[in-house]
Amino acid sequence: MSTEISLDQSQTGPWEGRKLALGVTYGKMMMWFFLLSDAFTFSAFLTGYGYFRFISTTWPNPEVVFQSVPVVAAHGAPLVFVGIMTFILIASSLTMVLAVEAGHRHDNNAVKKFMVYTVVGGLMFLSCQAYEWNHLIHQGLKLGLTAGDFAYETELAEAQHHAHHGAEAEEAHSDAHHAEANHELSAEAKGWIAERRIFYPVVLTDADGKEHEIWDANTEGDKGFELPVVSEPILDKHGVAYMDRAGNYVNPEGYEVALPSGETTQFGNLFFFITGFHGFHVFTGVLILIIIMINVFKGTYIKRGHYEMVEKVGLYWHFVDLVWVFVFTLFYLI
Amino acid sequence: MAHEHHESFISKYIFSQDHKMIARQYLITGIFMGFVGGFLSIFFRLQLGWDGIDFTWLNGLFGNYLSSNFNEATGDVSYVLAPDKYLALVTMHGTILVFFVLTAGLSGTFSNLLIPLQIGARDMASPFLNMLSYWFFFLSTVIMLVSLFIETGPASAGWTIYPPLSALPKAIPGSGLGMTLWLASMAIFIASSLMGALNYISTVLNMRTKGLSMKKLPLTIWAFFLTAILGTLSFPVLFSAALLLIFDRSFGTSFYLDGIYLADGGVLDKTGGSPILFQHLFWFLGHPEVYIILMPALGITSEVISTNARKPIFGYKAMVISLLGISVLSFIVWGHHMFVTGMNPFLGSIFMIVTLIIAVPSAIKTFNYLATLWKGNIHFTNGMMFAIGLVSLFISGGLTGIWLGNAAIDIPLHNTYFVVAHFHIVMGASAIFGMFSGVYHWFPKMFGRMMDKKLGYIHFWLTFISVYLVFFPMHFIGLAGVPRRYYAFTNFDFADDFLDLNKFITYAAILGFAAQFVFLYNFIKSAISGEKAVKNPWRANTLEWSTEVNPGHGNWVGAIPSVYRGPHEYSKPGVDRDFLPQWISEEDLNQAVDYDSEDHDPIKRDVPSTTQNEESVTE
Amino acid sequence: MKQHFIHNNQNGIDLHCFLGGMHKHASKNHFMKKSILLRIFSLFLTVFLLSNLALASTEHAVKEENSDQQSEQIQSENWAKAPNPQNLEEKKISRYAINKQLEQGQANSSQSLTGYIVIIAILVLLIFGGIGAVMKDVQKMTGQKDTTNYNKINGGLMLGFLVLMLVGVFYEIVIHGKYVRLDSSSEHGQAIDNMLIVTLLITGFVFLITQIVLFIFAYKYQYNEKRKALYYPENDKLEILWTVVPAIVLTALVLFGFRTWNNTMIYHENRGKDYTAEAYPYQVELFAYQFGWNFRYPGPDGILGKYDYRLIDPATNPMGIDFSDPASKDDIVTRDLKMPKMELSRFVMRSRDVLHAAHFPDFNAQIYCIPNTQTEFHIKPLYTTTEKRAMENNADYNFELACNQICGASHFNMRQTVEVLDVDEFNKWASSQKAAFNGTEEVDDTQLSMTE
Repeated sequence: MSTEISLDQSQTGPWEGRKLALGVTYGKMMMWFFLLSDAFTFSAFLTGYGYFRFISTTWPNPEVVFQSVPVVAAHGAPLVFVGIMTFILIASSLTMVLAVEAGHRHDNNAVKKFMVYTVVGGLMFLSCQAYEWNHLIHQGLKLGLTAGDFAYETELAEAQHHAHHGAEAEEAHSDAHHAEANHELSAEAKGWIAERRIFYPVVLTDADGKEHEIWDANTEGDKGFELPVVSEPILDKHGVAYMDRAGNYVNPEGYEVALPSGETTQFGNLFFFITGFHGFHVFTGVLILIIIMINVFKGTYIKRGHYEMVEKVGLYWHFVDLVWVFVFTLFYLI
Repeated sequence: MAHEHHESFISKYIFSQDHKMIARQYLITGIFMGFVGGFLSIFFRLQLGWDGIDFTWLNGLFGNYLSSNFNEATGDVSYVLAPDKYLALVTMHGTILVFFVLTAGLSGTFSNLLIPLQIGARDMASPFLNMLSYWFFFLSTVIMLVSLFIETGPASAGWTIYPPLSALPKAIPGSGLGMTLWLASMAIFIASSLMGALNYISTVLNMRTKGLSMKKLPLTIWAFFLTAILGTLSFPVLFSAALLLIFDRSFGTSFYLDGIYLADGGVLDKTGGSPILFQHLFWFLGHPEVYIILMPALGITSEVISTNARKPIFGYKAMVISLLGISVLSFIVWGHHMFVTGMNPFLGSIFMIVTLIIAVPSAIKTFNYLATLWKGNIHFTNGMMFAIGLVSLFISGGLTGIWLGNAAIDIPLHNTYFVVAHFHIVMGASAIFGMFSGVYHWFPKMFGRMMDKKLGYIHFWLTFISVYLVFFPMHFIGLAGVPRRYYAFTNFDFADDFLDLNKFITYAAILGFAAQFVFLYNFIKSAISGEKAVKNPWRANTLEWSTEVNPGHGNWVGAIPSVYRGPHEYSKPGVDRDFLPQWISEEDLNQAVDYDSEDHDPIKRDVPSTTQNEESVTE
Repeated sequence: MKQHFIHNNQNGIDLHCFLGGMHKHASKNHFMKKSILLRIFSLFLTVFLLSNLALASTEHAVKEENSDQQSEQIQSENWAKAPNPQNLEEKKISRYAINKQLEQGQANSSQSLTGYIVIIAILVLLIFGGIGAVMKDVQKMTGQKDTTNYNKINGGLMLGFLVLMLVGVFYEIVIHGKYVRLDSSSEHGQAIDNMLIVTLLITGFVFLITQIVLFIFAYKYQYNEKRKALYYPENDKLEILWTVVPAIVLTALVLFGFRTWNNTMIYHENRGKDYTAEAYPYQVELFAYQFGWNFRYPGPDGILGKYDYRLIDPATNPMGIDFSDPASKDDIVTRDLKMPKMELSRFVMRSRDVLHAAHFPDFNAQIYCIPNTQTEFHIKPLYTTTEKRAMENNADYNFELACNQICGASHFNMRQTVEVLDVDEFNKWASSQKAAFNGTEEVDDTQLSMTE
């Protein structure tokens, strides 16, 4: 390879200097590389999800966890709502594409229109996500579940108290605890206990040692298995009450609860963390979209002569959408 | 075309958007942090040399690092370094030197300085983003330094901050506020690094001057470019790992925690997590990180050796392919830091195979350096000394890497002083030598003056000798099985054989640290009143030497030169001089323009500013 | 003021101006005088700081020389000096270490001498450097040029350094080579040692050749006006040669290592079998905590029972054994680690709080201890402790277990001796141990105190 080229003027390829090597301006190049780095950030989180998911023997069943649609149905509609959310986000990506295309045609009014649609789509997605979070938190799934959330008071914890505090203190202590667990509670509080104590999955072991995985004490997890319905919440020896899907209290007597392992905890941690991180990106995306939209309304890009800023924001928005597809696939479908 | 706009003091020196000023800012911050990190190491080396050494004289400033002892026999109260604060010192030493000096101080300085100058651009693609990247770095420096002085101490779980130790303040005090500050500082640091990398990548791709194809790029630019890509892809994963750790510490999650009972806290009710996940995420950055540190040093070495040996770098193509090979392979070898974590042995085998493959490009580079020296005509400038030192250290350190890359050998050697010796020689010595080499070589470009040669030689020889004296014996300590991060060697039969050797190493370390003051003195004195530089003091070929001695905004007065050949045309047959710069055209050659008439007067460029505004092809 | 800035701007000598005082237009003499004063001042400052440092460090060495050489005295000194580890564990100083210190007490004087020599060497260098710098200023003032041929000096130094380096490497190997363990006391360890030796030979050979070539080239090809360097930018054949040869060598190392690694970690002969009492008659659970070790033996039934971290209580059930599992009821919990010679012991490791690592330098064995998760390593010792003591010619020699993953303040203090016994003695010992379960789901604590 000769390092001396005398007739450089004849070199005209894209890598010969004084040219845009990859055909994009530096602004867009920076956006692409930034998105690449952000992709690695999300990949790290999703890899973490994969790590936990695939070293676990059980894992919450998304079809049971995510089975409500706002207003329309409290349960029985597995994955419908998330489908709606995904549709909204993809549609907003579509309107963004149209905005960019309109920008190429220098059609400012069309750009305005489509950007408005995109922003609206983004805001709708955020509201849906907020609703989903709210619903799940009410159900008891949250970030930072601890062992203590899974049962009100365990035999093991009692043993610990006994060891540390001695018998009398233990009695007084457990009285106080049992008072709380007492049936003389306001209806609200009862409802709170009942709902709050149910987590996914719960494994009941019957006297023969057979295990039944249950979800809200319904038959979804384990076909043909049902608990008898009662009118008041009955707490098992761990202080847990159970409700079936229709909202009736059921009697867990005769069954041994297997204290749930860390899978549910991790599901909760990962779900809120990753969808939260993604939601944060959607939020900042919406903010940036609004800023650029204001510029479009002001006519900044007409003056500038090109709509490249709209393109760059579009890139970011498409990235956010693409990440959502992966998140949604991993959490809801796999 | 000099910029005539008025600049205030603030916009010129503080919030400068000029890449050269930013390079100087990075350098000065990097040097300062280097001294801080070195000082911390002397602190803990004193403890290792003399177990229980009395540090009462430090009580005023660093009292939070000391614990007191009452000696019943003599009735004295003395202050010794507390064992958990020993770990704090070791942690901060590692963090500061790896990230703040060797990543930001090395890449930040030289990428900023050289990329626009060597590729023929007026400045970076986005000077504003560049400025932000420095100030984010500065902010992260401040936060990290602040953490040194808080009462519970700075982060103390090793620079690798494995949870659960780093997640639980009750496990070690430094994992409280100190760890929080560490994480905050690193999050900002990663943002800074990313901003810098975006600039470097787009500038190299988009703003090369006419005639400068990728095949004619100086090897420094190739190195900085690939380093930036590596950083873009790997730092986010550290960011993720850190973010998950932040949530584990402060928001009740349990990504890394499972089944823990603390003596001072009872059963932790966190379940489901895995400390090994952290290690995977951390080392996914951790391994590319060491190449992010090493590649710029290697790039600088290529340039300095070629220029000072007056020979083209041997095998330019092979050098570039090696850099590419190292970059790609660095992403798939991270597991070699985790051989003994209990991972599936099959996975361990895969990592072992790939790790040993990555030794091949490094070997190619070393042989190429040797071949470049062969039959050269070597000027022993200060930069060249350090470059040769780097090659020697890279050989020594790289070869011990082959030991550690072999999973079976890693079983007894993991986390011992053998590893400490390996990474210090290959990072703490080799890469730092690259940085010194660059500073000496490009000092004329940064400050318009030359550094003092004699002081430079003293600095080199003292540092080079002390580096070998400090780290070579550590291999033996490691082979005997002595673990790293040990406060004292007195408690194990197999370790207390080395109490004397520790003293020797400490003396050598003090010598090495003292030698750096020679450099500091030289640096400051030369910047203020060193001998004025000429335009091309090293008679080099690359584009940065075609500017004025102190280039202003826009780098070139007049048009940006075009490039006509590769950067290593030294001692070319048929050419009068022993160098042939990239910017000398055929016509210049035909007209026998004497591009080597050096004097204290820079060559006047008689090319007026052209009407064609050669703004690079950006918006 | 504005003018001033623009003027300096063009020359870019910014630092110069804003550090104040040294204005570019000052007289040359004034300038020189200031720089000489600056040099002398900085020299004194450095000397002052370094001597403080030297005094602080050598003070201790001097103290050691003068101290009484009684074993108890040293022990109490050490004990008094020892910062209290985090959870008040005793600082475990081996008798062997104390005796070594007694011997070394005499050797200390030579060590502080080394220190003084180094300090003096630094000072001499600085003084000469300072003088040299002053001389250079004088030369500048009188207009003489510095005609020293630094190239020649440095070229010579390169060669000198090579000699020094080779001598140093040789010296190190002679002096400290004996501490390198190349006769591992475990079966797989011997294979790892072989791997180590092969790697040493290969890398040592490459190290010697490349360093010699580097420094000789540096010396031989120093700048010579009459010579022109050889323009030799590439040779693809050569590149391929030194790509392929390392690749082949490394492939050989990989294959060798692959085999050694698998033999150590995958335990072929028992692959696929469950961890039953028949397949693994000797099992131990290592339990690491801040800052010590507990050990659990499976007892007569040969099975280690279940554990549950929620049951951990340092006083009554330090390892969190779940006594509702019948296999746990005969488990033995101790703070002694004993192994049978020439039998494969299956170690399972676990930690109570943070990451620890079980590191047996004698056996070339190491693996992390993770909270609530078990990792596994198999060791087959080749010598009993008694035999090893005879081999080492040291009646106080012990196999040791150290923690090798940073785990908190007393990370350096988690010492455990390992005793290897003949199979019969081991079985006798094991059957004489009491089960941990004493009927009330608590652990019998008579075996919890350290016996060695």
